[in-house]
Amino acid sequence: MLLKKILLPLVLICLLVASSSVALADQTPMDRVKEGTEKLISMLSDPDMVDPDKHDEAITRLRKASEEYIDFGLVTKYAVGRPWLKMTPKMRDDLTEAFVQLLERSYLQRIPAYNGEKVDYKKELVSGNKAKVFTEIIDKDKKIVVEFRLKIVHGEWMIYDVVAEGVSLVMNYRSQFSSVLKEGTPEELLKLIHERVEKLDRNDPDERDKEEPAS
Amino acid sequence: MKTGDEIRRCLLTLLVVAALLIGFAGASFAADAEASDGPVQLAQFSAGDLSDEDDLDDFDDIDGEYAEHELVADPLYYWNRVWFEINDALYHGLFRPTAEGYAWLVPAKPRTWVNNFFTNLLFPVRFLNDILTGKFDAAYMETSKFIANTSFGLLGLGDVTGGMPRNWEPERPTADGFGQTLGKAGIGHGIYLVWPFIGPSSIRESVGWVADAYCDPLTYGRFTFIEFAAIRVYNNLNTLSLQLKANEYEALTEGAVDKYAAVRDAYIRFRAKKVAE
Repeated sequence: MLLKKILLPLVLICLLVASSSVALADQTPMDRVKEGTEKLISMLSDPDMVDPDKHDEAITRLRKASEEYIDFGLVTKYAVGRPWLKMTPKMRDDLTEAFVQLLERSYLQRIPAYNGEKVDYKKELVSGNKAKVFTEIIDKDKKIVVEFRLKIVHGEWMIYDVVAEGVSLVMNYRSQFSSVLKEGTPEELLKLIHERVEKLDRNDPDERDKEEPAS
Repeated sequence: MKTGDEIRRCLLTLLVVAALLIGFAGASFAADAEASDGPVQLAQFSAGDLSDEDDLDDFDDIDGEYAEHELVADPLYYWNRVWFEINDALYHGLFRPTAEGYAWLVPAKPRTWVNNFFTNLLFPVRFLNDILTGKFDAAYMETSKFIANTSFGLLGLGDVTGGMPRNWEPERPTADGFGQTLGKAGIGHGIYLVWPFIGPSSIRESVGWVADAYCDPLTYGRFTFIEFAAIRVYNNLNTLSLQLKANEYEALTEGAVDKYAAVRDAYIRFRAKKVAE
C-alpha cells in the first residue's frame, strides 16, 4: 500500500528531527549565545578576516555562522511588525533577504578586529519558548550592556533581537519601517532597503576607516 | 537564504503530515500509547513546534517584552526633521572632517588628556546627581576620583584611577545629568526636540542641560560668550576626535532606512535605560 510506503520514512524523519531538536533544546539559551559568541570571536581573531583580499570570503563565512544562531526571518518579521501578517510569502522572503543584506552591509562590512574584549554572561530569563540572555561586553574601561532575545525555533534557541544599551535592533528598525509602511506599500519599503544597500555598497568601506589608531 | 527557507518549508510540511498521522495513530491506539512514552512525547513535541509556527500573530507576546520602554511624542516633527537633516549634513560635511584633521594633527594621548580634563571638570554634575538619586557609593567614588585626578593627575589631565579595579555600579558616567535625575523622579520627556547644532533632546533633557550648566565650573569662568562657546565647541570636537572609529552615530544611521526615526528611537531608549539604571 502506498500509504504504508510513505508512512515509514515519514515516521523515521519525524523521529530524527524530533530527537535532534530535543537534544538541542537541552542547551540553555545562555549556552547557545555563548557558543555563537565564541565562534564569532574565534573567527574574528583569524588574521584572514581583516585581509582585504579575502574580504568577500570573510563576509560569507561570517554570515553563514551568524545564520546558525540568528533567525533572520524572525528578526525581519518583528522589525516589520503587524503589517507582516498581510504580506505575501514572497514579499516576506524578499524583505528578509534585503534586510539581511542591509544588516550585513552596516555591521559586517567593516569587520571589527577582535581586540580582546571580554564578554561576561550575566544571567538568563526563560519564559516558555522565549528567553533573554544578559551579557556585558568589557572593552578596556568601557562596559556595554547587551541583551539577547531568543525564541525556540524547531527545537533550537534562535536569537531574534539584540538590545545594546537599551536600544533594540528590532524595535529601532520597527520605528523606521512603520513610518514608511504607514504611508507606503511593502514594495516601497523593499525599494528603500535596496537603495540603502546599494548606497552602502558604493561607499568603499576601506576608505573611511583607516585614520585614528585606537586611543 | 532562499534554499534554507525552502528546506524549512519542506520540513514543516513533513512535520505537519507526520504529526497528523501520528496524532491519528495516537488516537486510535490510545491504550498502547500510554504504555510507551516515546511516540507520545514525540507527538507532543511536534504539536508544540507546530503551534509555534502556526501562531504567526505573536506580536502581542513579543511586543509586550518591550513595554518597559516609553515612546515619545513628536508634535514638532517638521521642525525636528529639518534640524536633524541640517545637523546630519553638518556632521558629515563639517564636524567629522574637522575632527579627522584635528586627530591627524594631534596625537591621541594629548587628546585623551583634554578629554580627561573636561570629564574631571564636570565632577559637580555627577556628584550632585548621584546624591539626588541616592547613589551614594557612586558619589563617594566620584569624589575620590576627583581628588586623586585633580592632584596626582595634574588638574585632571591624567586619569590616575582609570586602571583600578572597579567595584561600583553603574559604570561611569555614574550620573549623566539632571535630565536623568528628573526621569528617575518620574518625569517624562514631554516632547522630542532636536536642537540646532546640538542634536536630539526633549523638554526634560533640555531642562536638565540648563540645570547642569549651573553645576559646570566653566559657567562661572570669566569668559565672554564667544570664548565660552569656543571652549564648548573645542571640547565636543575633541570628544568626536576620540570617537571616529566605531562611531555610534554612524553605526546607527548608516544602516538606517529612515535616519531620523532611527536616531529618535535610539535616543529615547538609551535615555530610558539610563533612567532605569
